[in-house]
Amino acid sequence: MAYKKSPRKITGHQFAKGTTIDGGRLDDCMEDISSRWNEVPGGDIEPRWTQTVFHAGWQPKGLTYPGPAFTWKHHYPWLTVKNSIAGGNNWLAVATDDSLTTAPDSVQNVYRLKGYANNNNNAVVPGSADDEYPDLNRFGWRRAATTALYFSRPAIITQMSMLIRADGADSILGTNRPYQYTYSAALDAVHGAVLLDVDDPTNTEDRSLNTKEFARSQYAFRALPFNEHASSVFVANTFPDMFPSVHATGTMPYGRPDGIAMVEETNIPLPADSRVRFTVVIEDQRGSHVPFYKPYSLTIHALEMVE
Amino acid sequence: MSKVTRPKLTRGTKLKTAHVHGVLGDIATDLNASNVTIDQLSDSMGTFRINFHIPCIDSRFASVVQRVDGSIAGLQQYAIPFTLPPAQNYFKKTGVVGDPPRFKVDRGVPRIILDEFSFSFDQGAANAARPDYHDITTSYGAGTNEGTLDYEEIDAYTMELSLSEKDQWFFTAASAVDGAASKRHPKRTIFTYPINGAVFASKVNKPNPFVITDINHVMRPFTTYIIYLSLPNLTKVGVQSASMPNSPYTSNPDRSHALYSVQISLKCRTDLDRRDEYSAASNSIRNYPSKDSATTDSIRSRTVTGDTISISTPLSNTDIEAETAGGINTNIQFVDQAFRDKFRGGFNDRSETAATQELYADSCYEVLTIPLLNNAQDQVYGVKNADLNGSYAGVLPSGGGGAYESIADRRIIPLKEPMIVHHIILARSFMDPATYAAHGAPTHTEKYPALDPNANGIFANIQTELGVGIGSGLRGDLGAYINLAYVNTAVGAAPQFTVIDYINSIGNYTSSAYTHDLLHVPLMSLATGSTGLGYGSNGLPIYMGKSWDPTSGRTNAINTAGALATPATKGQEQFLEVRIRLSNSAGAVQDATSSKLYVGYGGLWLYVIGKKYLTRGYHGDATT
Repeated sequence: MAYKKSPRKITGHQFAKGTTIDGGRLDDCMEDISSRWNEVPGGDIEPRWTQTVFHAGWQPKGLTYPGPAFTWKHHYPWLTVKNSIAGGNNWLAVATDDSLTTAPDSVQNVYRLKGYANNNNNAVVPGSADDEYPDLNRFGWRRAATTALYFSRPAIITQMSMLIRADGADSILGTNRPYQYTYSAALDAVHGAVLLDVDDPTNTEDRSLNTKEFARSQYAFRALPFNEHASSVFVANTFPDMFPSVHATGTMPYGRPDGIAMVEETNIPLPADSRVRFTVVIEDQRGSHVPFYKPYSLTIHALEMVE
Repeated sequence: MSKVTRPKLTRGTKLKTAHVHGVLGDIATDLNASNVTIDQLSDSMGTFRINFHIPCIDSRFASVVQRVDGSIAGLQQYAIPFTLPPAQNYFKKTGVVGDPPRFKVDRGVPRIILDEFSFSFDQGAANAARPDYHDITTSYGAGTNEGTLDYEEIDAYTMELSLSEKDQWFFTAASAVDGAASKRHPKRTIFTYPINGAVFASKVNKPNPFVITDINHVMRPFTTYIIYLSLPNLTKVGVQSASMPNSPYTSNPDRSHALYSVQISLKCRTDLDRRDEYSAASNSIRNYPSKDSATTDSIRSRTVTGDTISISTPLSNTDIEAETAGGINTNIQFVDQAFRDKFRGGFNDRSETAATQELYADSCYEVLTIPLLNNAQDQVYGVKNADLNGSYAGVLPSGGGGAYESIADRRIIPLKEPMIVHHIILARSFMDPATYAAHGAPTHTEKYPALDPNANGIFANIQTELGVGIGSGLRGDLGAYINLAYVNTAVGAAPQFTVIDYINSIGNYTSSAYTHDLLHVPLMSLATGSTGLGYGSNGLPIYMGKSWDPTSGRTNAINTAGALATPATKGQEQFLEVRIRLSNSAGAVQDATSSKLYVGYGGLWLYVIGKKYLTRGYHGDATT
């Protein structure tokens, strides 16, 4: 700690019994005090932050009931997690050369993410026909939605949440539709990942250099219900509801809140000029697409400094 | 003004108490009265952001709009309108019947300054474009290249970002019905920024996120702002076909592309403001923590809490001393300790205020942006083909027993820090999808809603039921909700929307049709009438925030019967919830004879506007 001749914060002058005093010292002291009072530095304010909320949410078509047979056409906003997949290309062959069988040199990040995969959460039944492409199984059938944020000044990520809504059991539909994988019951326990990365400040485009600020892989989404005791906490048709009501006597079709609620309290400081990427990884079930037709609500709470 | 001035103590001047104790006494007086004002703070502006997340903008978005006769109506830009009304305590409008309302902005209304605009989308960490699922060589929806890497056509991401402003219809209309097309277009462009798609092929320092800094534009209240995103190359359409009637292109087609996970963020600075204080007589904030408001110490100044700083002034002609009661060092110590403890104010995430407060202004403007009914299969919700809507068509959830089909959505957003809600604004989109005509629309103009003679934004063919509320029960043992706002246009009685503005995002399009409107959504008010301030009738501000036991006691809020009552959430709210349900006037969603849109491309945006508080960076408590 640097030498400081006075214990005072607002002035460097210290007046003590038995010491001399003169007008110059007093004037300097009062100038220090009045100047600091008239231009209070930010560090003298204890609550120097305000909240910022980034919310992303969407409801795809899958919520048709009883409606026509479910036919999913697009995967927006989900992209594959790997930019080059052994056993199958996911780049477009250029028009002048359709014979490409390996990724072009221009594939900058074969792995666009890190920290999401492990051997336990394949969405493929071991020994099945799909299992012949281990790399594909581990990475290829997963999809990620990434939201990129920019902070020009220091910030703190205080909460990250992901809600995957499902209709409550008391829905007028007569059945709830929990978030689960039907492709393989054995693989139902561990699903996706939630990641928060910060780009490397000197090589922003190399994802292998990203700083991982938050990573939850092997995330058991089903183990995070909105309320484990929903039937007693939200007693059907009697819990105090808002309008339009989801009660059977109401006009909304959903029922009580249900589904998956991941709410992570965090305390992640971000330096100035941070490029932050918030990613949710889910598994593509090759045909059933169950994860895609869920409505997602992704929210990041951050604190930003007064200026 | 709580700045101090002091007499200079020049050589030869006799030392007086005004030189030292007078200055310290002035400072102590302001500290005791929580009067450290923003004009003496070096950092006196809070920040807030208006954040938009768009799951995708695909080639179905009609960049080029064609009239029925084949002529080009104009370039349709992806547009998002918003407005930043002053908080209720600054909201002033006048007007009489037959004369449009006028607004008034007093001195002292916190300034809002746009500082930064950032834009990003998900390229998947690749220097390539991403095709969408449309294969325009045949028909929409038949593509197989969705999400793949396209290194050839990165120019699909050539775009132009801009921000424009316009006067609001609410303040300019000569009567309740004024369809002048000129009043639907922006009046002034704040900035326009073209981006060549080639930059997104860069392997070094790719501008994604793309950031425009130091804009320093003062945002005006009572003004509509429109973010425009022009994407002329996203849809590269080839031979015109029945499925692509809007295409002006005749060359061979290229691939079509999409922007995935678009994030737009407008960062603004705003003056710190005195926080709303509860007053049973004049400002009975709903659902407000009653811990302090039950007494007079809603601002816990040192005077109120009994922790005053007292400067002892020595008598004249006494010795100059350091450490006695009137000593210079003793009294400097009092002020120094206040600085050492730091100046406090605001709320923490459990609705608790600081033990003592020195700051005069400890809150600032806040906007929460919530998307609704977006990312549908066809990116729109139309009337004609209910089966394409992702709706609950065929479901009969109505307590009335009628055939209530509905297009519905529900958003849940966990609460972290508290805020007081002053206004809620709804922006509706009726932007045109390129292939809507393929679903049966005979003419272009019919895709838009008819010009609405109803100042409450009610269409003959669209009934809207919208509820904004707060709830508890997220892994908790109290499952309950209260409404912040509720509108049901089918009822016809108050409260109803108030139209703020109509916007047409199609350049040179002179029709009276429009692509967006902005509606004011009234906060909950007593059945006997509203007492808040806003564009239309409005309820009083409503607090929302988590609590710990001492702050769970709340003032009464308006219940669903329109009466004041103890909030059902009991101060334990954990999340904000928005519910919306659309149907036609017959209580259904499908009408084969109509070609109108319920919801245009991009869906709806709901803005929850109010004041948030200064808070510490870390509360020392990482539990939910």
